[in-house]
Amino acid sequence: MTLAHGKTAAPTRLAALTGPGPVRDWTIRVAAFCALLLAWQLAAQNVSVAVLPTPRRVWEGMAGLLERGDLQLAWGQTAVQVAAGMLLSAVFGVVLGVLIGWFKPVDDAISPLLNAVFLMPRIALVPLIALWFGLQDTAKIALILSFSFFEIFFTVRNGVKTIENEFVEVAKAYCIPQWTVLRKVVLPAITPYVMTGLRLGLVYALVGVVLGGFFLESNGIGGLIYALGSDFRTAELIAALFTVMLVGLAVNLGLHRLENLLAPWKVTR
Amino acid sequence: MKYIKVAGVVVFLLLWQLAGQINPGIYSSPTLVVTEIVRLFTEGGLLGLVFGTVATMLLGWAFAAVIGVFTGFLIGRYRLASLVLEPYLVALYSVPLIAVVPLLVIWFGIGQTFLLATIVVATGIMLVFPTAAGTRETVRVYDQVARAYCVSGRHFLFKVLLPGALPFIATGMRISVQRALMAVIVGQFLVGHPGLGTLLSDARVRLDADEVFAVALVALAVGAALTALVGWADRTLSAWRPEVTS
Repeated sequence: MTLAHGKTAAPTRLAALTGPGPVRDWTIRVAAFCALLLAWQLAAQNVSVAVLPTPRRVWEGMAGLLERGDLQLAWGQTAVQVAAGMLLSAVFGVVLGVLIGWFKPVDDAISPLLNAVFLMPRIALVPLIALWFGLQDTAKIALILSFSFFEIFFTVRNGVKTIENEFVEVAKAYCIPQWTVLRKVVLPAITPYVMTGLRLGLVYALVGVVLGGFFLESNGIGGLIYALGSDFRTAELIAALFTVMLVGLAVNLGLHRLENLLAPWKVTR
Repeated sequence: MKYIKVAGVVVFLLLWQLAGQINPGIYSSPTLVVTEIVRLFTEGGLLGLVFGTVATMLLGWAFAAVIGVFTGFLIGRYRLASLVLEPYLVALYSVPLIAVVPLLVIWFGIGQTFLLATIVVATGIMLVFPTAAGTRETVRVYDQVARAYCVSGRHFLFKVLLPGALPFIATGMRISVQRALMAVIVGQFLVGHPGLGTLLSDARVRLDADEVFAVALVALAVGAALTALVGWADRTLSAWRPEVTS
């Protein structure tokens, strides 16, 4: 770094590939990726196609799933279920998070119970959800809610509790009415927490919807994965799993961006 | 403050009991659930199922920790490893990994190996980044001192790096315990391997309200106990370095 000032000659292309810097880094990454694909190919050639299909077969599996519309149908159902579940958990999570975070006695009364449910592996609610809501879409939405609500609720509640000390004392000193403080001070201040909560909530909603497809009515992407796995259609199974990975990644990265855009001043977790 | 907490729980239990009097088939009730848990204990072999599940979870979690810590150490210590592996690891960290369980059934069958693999896949990744952060931090702080005292190789690894990264690893364990428990339950639920997961699948089939609530409460108790235990271990290990968070 310190020597760079005196440098005048432009580095040659070869030097760029071998010397340190982003070009070399990317060369290494691409080479590693190719090595990975090659290793997969070689491993797949030596075992049954039901255990590990070659990359090419997975690609064909993906094309087949798209051609028959299986993936579109599954993701369509999943999107509807996740949208409904997220809408409910966003509304309940943010509203309850703000109210319970704001009114301390309510927090003391209710939080032990909510904390307890938060410590339970949420999958244990599946029988209860089946008893109350059956196995159809309502049940799936309830399961998604059980996964995403708590992430949103706790993030928002903790946010409200943290900002209290920072701004609220000032507002109190100026004798501003409680509801005005809530609207004008607390709500703007918790935006980053709401955004973080929604992102975590959506990530957990994806877990919930996949598990819903496994253990409740078998539809959506979870149902498709389960069915492909039971039929040992491994190439298509891996293709479907790749779409889950892709969606999970897109959700996370996209919402991270949105978070930085809407609330750039404070990013948590 | 303490009174309000107790009062909240008491009011909840009373309301639940009341709802149970009206429609026990849907709401069960605290007394019915306690009776059911006792029945599961005496007739259903609940204790054995819980211990089996927790033992499997701990074993899988230990494997996950070894693999996760090793990977985290590699990417924290060696730039080449970080260059090659980190994009995939970051990707794996943010996707719902529980979806791969059906693939693991194909690869590992439906026995104990499958359950261990499920736990490793679901939780290993959560140890990687805390360990990498701990390794980088320890190298940053102690590298020159270690060099000055000619501590290198195995000694540096086991006497400096590992103790230095330990609080970070403990934090990784703390944030992954819930996932480990869920992974083992999902695995058992899916393939019918005896344990908490099969209690869930039985309850889902019979839809007996008492059983449904009893099983959920047992899972809650196990989750709470494990979280408390790991939280305690984390605090003990991090006692000399209180600033480490997530």
